[in-house]
This record gives sequence, C-alpha cells and structure tokens, in this order.
Amino acid sequence: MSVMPEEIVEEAAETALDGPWVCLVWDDPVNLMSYVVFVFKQYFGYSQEKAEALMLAVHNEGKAVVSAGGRDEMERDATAMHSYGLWATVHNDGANT
Amino acid sequence: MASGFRRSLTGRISGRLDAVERGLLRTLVEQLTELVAPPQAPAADPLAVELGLEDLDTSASDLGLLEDRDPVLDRLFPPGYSDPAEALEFRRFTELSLRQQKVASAAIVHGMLDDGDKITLNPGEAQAWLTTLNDIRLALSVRLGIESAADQERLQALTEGDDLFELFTVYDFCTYLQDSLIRAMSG
Repeated sequence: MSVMPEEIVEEAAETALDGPWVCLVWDDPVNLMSYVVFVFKQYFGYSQEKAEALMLAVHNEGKAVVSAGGRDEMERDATAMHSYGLWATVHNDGANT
Repeated sequence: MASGFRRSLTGRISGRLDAVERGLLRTLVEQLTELVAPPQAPAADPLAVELGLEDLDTSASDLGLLEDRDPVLDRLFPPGYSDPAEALEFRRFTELSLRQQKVASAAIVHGMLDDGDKITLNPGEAQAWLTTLNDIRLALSVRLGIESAADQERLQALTEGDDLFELFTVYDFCTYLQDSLIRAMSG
C-alpha cells in the first residue's frame, strides 16, 4: 500500500512527463567570446573552465546544450539568454534537433 | 579619447569618454530605446469590452509580433523555439518584459552621459552598460549585415569613403568599450 503523499506522486509524474528539456545556445559572429563566457558564469554560476568549454562548443559546433531540466526552467534560461543578447532555444531532448 | 573601462585596485570600475564619444553613445542609446520600447497597444474600446466584442488580452498583433518587424527586433528578441507556433507563443509571454528590461538598462546608461568625461560604475550600472553596449552592437550588426566571421573581415578591410565605413567604426568603438568592460567586470 502506497503511503506517498499525493503531491509527491503528482510532482514525480509531472517531472516524468515534463522532462527532459534542454536549452541550446547558438553561435553568432557578434557576441564576443569573452562576453559569452561571462554570461555563462554569471547566469548559470558555472566555473571559468566549464563556461569556456561551453563557449568553445557553441563556437565550434554552432550550438551547445547549456542547461537541462523541466520545460518551465528551460524557458526561464532561454529568456535570460535573450535578455543578455544571446540566441537560445528550448527543445524537448527526445526531439533534439 | 576613450580609455576604456578599468578596475582600480579598490575594485571600482571607471572609464573616460570625451564629449564627442558621449554624444555618439547618447544618440545610439536613444535609437535603441526607440526601437525596443514596447509598442503602444491601441486602447481597447471600453464599450466593446463590456459587450464582449473585444477582449482585453494583448494580442500578438498588438505587440507588433506578427507584422513586418524591423529585422533588428528579431535579432534582439530571437525565436525561443524552432517551431514557429511555439516561438510565437513564447514571444507573447516573454517579449514585453524583455523590452522593458532593455529600456530600463538603456535609461541607466543614458542618465550617465551628461556628467563629464569620467564615468564610474557601481555593479548595477556596470551590468546596464554591459547589456546595453551588447544590444547596440547587435542592432548595428544587422544594419552592417554581419552574419558570419567573413562579413566581419570584409568590413574590417573598408577604408574611409566606403559606404559602411563610418557605421563600422561606430560598431568597432562599441566593441572596444564592451570588451574593456567585460575585462574590468571579470578581473
């Protein structure tokens, strides 16, 4: 007999249905490399090394996954990237293009 | 002549901009503000609303999301989804507050251009300068047609008298300022 509180079950179900989503940042020739690193450190709190690695992935591959989680969270991240002037999109990881 | 931004030993960020440079920035900030300020939605007719003929929801067209937009707006407020319908929905929920944020940052920068050559920035002001300089560069890049590194190289080779030379010089100046500010803020 399950003794899990209803809200936890609901939350778990929601997460299962809702994830995994990712936020992609796309390369562009205008945003300075130093700026992109700065943004990844400031917004996500990533280390210098991780921020640089992600910036280089964006630059070399044309795009990189910068965060993963629930859909709302990824929309928040993409909106934040847009507020900095970086181009970010939200994707369902299963249908990742 | 601009000296760019530096961080002093005490951690204060400051830079020097002469009157001509401040005048140029003032114009650029004003143009940016005009462009990103939320469009004035036509006021709903109160009688029509009461009769249920018009709802109060801000529609996509009121926000200027659908009609022929200035391509600079698409650069500053890019699609958040690859699917156009989802991108439009995302825009309806995010663009207004993004526009308000950009207008607020631009106003902070604008308010600091009348107080002489030396500009000293507290952390909030530094953040406003950082994003506003970036927005100006993004806007100018659309006018300059910068879509690749090759475009950038082509523009660097321009000389006085070429069509886009002056505009690119302005872009280059903003790049220099922003780069110095990033260093000062990271240091």
